[in-house]
Amino acid sequence: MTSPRTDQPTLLEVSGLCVDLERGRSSTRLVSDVSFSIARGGTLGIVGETGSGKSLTAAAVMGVLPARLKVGAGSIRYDGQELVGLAERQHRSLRGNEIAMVFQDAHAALNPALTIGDQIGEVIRVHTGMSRRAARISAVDLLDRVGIRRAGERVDDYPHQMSGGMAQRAMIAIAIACNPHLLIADEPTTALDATVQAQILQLIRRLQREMGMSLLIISHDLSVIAEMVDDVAVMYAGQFSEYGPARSTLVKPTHPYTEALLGAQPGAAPKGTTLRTIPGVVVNPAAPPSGCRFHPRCVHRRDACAAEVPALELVGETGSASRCLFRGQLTLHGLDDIVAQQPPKAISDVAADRAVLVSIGGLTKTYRTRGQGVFGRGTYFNAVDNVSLQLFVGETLGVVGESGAGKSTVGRVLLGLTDATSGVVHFDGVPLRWGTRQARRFRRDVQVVFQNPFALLDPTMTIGDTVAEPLAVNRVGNATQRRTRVDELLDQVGLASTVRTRYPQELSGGQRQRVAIARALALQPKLIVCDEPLSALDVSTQAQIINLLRDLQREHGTTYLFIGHDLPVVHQLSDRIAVMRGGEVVEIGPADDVYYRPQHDYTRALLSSVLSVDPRQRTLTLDTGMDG
Amino acid sequence: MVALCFLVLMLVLALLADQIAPYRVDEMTPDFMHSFSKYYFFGTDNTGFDVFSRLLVGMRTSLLACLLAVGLGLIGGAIIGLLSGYVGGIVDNVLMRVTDAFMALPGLLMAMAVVAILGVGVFNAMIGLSFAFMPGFARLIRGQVLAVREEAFVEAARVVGARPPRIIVRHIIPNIASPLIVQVLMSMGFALLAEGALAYIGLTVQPPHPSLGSMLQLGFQFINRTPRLILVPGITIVLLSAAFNAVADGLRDALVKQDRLVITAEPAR
Repeated sequence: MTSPRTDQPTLLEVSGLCVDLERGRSSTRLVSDVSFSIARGGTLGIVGETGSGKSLTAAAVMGVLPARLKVGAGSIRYDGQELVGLAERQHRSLRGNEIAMVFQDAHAALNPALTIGDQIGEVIRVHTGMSRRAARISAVDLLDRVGIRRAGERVDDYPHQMSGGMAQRAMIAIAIACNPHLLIADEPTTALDATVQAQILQLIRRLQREMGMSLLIISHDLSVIAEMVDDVAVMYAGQFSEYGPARSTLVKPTHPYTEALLGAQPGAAPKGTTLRTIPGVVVNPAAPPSGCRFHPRCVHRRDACAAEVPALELVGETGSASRCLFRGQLTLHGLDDIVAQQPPKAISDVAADRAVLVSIGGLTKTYRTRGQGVFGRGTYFNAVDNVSLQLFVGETLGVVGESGAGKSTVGRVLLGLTDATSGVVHFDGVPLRWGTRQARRFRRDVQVVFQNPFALLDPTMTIGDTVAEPLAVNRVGNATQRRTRVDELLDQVGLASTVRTRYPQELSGGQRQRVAIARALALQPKLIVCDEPLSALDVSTQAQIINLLRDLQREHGTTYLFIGHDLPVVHQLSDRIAVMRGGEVVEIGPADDVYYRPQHDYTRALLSSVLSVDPRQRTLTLDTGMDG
Repeated sequence: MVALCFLVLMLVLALLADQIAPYRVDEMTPDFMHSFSKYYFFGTDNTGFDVFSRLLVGMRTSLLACLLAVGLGLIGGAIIGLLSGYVGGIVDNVLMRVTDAFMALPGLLMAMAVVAILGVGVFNAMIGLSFAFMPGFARLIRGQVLAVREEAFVEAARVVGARPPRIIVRHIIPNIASPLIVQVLMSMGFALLAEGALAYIGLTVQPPHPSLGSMLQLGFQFINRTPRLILVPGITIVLLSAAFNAVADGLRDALVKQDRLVITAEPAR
């Protein structure tokens, strides 16, 4: 395979790359037969779901595969030099100098014990042998280049003194310190807020232009890939399922998996309708199904798909290569066929005819920060500042905002997990005071679905016990009745009753989130607080859960407080949206109004940083802003 | 693995000491200071007691004593640690400062002090020794509780109305069990050495009843003439103690690996 854009010489050429996990004498292949090339100054994006092998591919190129993982076959040629089998010493001199990497979580990747300046200086000194003083001057210069204001002062900061966006900028500064020719960015913006993500992507693009770097960007987020790349590779179960220029691959996909990913985007279906999902879960690349690896989940599958293994081959004139037996013969929906959301003409006032379930008045939560020094006085800040909201019976109120906006705190106060400093909450017309005896009767009416499905379930309890716990704690029914109810609940969230005896570790993220929802439903609550229930899930699973939440609401008439940071997702699910910033609600209104006709500048800013999955419409302009 | 097998074998021998031992511990044989032989595996001592028999019974006494010390330490530490970690605030502060103070006192000294107050005997000495283990357990448990308490599943339990006792028993204790088991095994190794030391200065069992430490004391009198008498119990103590530590180490590695698998199973975002 050569790059479809061949006007520039190739910098990185990977062919037939396989990564194996060695377990004693046997080994399992986690990445198989991956081939791609990146031209000088070119950009390739690899998109895939959890466990698809996209990060392993990047780690193999970087030569930093985790222990027990080995390149099993294939070659990685960088600027004509073979990297597979290269001595560690030579590889090390390439790393940082020629090939640099930016990781997902900057705070985890930076050393908390060293200042930013020291960490940038270390890279420079290792590769150039520059003096400590000269390295420090370069570090200031680099911080300035990545858009950190007052770089001369910030150079002595420790990572914990920086925000997530700034830490990411600092890590980019480390990456570009030695003018690398290839930058590998593995989920560079995944943990960041939308506006910060936009800034970081702009920064990466600007630096790429200025320095003529090639870029390999890895993401689970199709819109980040669409925004950044020339070429895209869609990875599934350790293989490229489709590879080609973004403008043709994403617009006219030639592989059913790409089509399915596009269709599962929250903006891909009109609001209120069922999203298209990819049935099932990502297969384990170590134990792939027979034939085509995607066939068990493919809506276009035919008999031959289970028998014959497809190769990655070019399809017609599109420039895309597809690993599908019926490439070129299927009619697949591309971006132009997906019903783009249209703003509705009439505005329906959801509030008019519904009873109020929860009324929050003047809610304030003040935290005291720890003072400096032993006798230092703390300063106070309001995580939630005088928030008044109403929730109507059976509606979904979406609360959006960036981290630190106070949206989760509102949810936690409703759940009784945090005490409010002042303000009143009325539930069903009765003042709600958590901690008092009378509040216990509300316990059954307010339930929660948390963000992280991996921390949510007690690893030492079976799924059955977890789902039955609300019933057991509140002494509902006897053991037999509870078991029947658990089966019923599991069925409602689309899980087989056989999971009852299994442990959370054995389930996928989406399955765990279903368990959490089943548990929340157990007491038939009137209100469920959904705190970022989708943000840890893959796109296809996310769409499944969105559909599930909506179906359950239709069936039970439950009210949702849906807390999220992803505007398209929140818009897709909500009747009304409240936008929060710095502890205050800056805008609230019917979802379509807020989404299509935002009144507040901040809402507009949030909306403008929402990236499109259409590579033809790039949202971001070249970076001009500073800080993050 | 070798250490585990050795430990299990020793435990079985100690438990079945009465059945296996060819002689009673206070049964004088006609042979004094007899060397290794097929009648007396490890020979006899100056009174004519069979060393092998005494070793088995002594091992049982020592192991039971250690179990008592570590068990009491664990229970005490668990109560302090759970209270401190779960309740927090001023309770945490007071308990932890007291714990710190206890930590500053050497364990053996504490055991001697308790023996001085309550009188000589295995039970009293072990109560004293258990105070030496309490602070360690308390700190470990407190730290673990602090970490687990913040987990989403604990908050989820609060949301469904679970009260603190249920949260502690059902959610917190099972999740902090694995580091505790490791700590218990480690402590067993230390307790064995400490028991040896206490018995050596005559603060635990009284003759003719044997423990590994009291056998050591006896052997010391004949260290030049008959090193056998000090080597047999001495080597046993070293091997047992090392085995406890090795098993604890192995277990910790196994548990950490398990945890890592859980971590890598998490999606990278």
